[in-house]
Amino acid sequence: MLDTPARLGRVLAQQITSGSATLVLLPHNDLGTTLAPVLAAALDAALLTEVTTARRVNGNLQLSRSALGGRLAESRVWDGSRPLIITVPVRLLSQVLLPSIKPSTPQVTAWQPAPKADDSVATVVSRIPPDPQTVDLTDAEVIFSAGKGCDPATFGKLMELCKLLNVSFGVTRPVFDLGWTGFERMVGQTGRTVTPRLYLALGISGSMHHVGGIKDAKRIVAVNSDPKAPIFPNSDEGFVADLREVIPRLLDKARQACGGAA
Amino acid sequence: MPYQDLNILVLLRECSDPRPPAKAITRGAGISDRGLRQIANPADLSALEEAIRLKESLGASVTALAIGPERLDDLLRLAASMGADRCIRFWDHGLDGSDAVADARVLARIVHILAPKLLFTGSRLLDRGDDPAPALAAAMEAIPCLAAVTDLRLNKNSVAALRKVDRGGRQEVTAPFPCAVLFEEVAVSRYPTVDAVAAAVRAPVEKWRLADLGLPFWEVGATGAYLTLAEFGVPRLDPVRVVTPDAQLPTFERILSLLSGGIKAREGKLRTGSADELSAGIWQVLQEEGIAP
Repeated sequence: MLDTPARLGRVLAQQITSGSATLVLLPHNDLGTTLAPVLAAALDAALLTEVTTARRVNGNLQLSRSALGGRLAESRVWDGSRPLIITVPVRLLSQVLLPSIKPSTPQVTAWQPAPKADDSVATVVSRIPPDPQTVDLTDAEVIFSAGKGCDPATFGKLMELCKLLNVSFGVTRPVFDLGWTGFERMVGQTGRTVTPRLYLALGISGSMHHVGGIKDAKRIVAVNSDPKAPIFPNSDEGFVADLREVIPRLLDKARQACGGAA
Repeated sequence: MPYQDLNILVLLRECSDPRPPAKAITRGAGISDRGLRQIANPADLSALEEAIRLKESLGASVTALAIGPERLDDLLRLAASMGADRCIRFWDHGLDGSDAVADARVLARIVHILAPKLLFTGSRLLDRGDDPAPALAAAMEAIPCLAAVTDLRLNKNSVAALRKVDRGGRQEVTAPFPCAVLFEEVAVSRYPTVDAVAAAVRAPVEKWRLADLGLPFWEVGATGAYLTLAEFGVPRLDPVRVVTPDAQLPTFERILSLLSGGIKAREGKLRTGSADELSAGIWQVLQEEGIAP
């Protein structure tokens, strides 16, 4: 049913009506933004997307979203007379849970809608996964990042390793300053703030500006020849090693595993 | 492939250029006009360019539509100079203060009257970001909607599109005619010739009013909105967790922990050994994550 999100929206609308829900929250992602208008049309509901804040004002709910490129906040009031559909950008959610919010256990209901062919809606024919070599670093799943501890020869081998293993590569500010890559590959607070599943920091000392840009990575593995490098306390696993020795070995393993050169 | 009756409706919207400084006027009743520049939404111009290309290649007829006051005639004349066949501007008294639902009602009604095979517009607005009104209008008219489209191909009775999805992925989607297509800002809009611009100065712009749509006034504008505009204000700053430094630490470490902005120390397991052992250890990590075979 995920291949026909409009039909999914109609089925959800029936469930929402039978459950007498008045407020529907959706993530502001591809599926959420596709479902929200379908639900709003089916339920004759109010609709507001990319909501950043919500608070009670005089018994009504006041919702805000960004306007003018984020310079201003536009607030709208919902009086509760009709259902409301909102989408919330996950990245904009506050990392801090306010003390007034008490965690609760939601009731989860599962149901299986009857499959039904419908030619009048948009249908997903195929899904093309992102290409790690060209995808924006903020969307990358796995990043191998090179720091100043990487010499030009090792950097070339690292690029080959990234191609063989089909992962994205990033660099730190000093490597970007050397002109080895474009700005779009720079990781850190002044470059891209990334959230990959695995971040492999190679020859990176771990300055605060760089670590600030990777702190939300799920797993950070660092390789550095200096055991006192600040990257190690900020990583899940550290390897004290010389990149000139480690990268060629990893490249050989990758070549063997992938059955030849890239 | 001949398309005898391929009529495309392109919705053009203006937006505030977010680059100049802006501020809210007294008590957040609106945005100060001083220094604020209204420009054509770039993604909408990309959609217009796609429509004009279909006109040139397949003989489609292109209608440009703008919803707003008289100054939008300039936007429609730009569309005419780029190659639009017909320009329509809809506006009436009391249409200010609407929300997505009220906007969508107007657009859905226009789509119902003109019955285009394709409705084109931009996927996002430069100033506000996401605008659900076109997708909502499509849902009200029960026509499929494809958002974030980067490439479009027409088949005999359907469209096939390539669209952007989450985390850099893409999808190939198909939808039957009629359908709404919301374009990403991919196609670079053409620069009209001087002759075309001169000819467009006299291009007729049809002015539609509420009576032409047959919509009651209470369904549009502020009266038809389900969400009332409260105010424009300064965005609330996101709360940031402040680290309480350990009083036992030296001063430098305490200042460092405050400046770190909540960077939490991790396990920091250190492994030492020969290059072979360490590269085997890193390879094992890659295997655990499913990267290495």
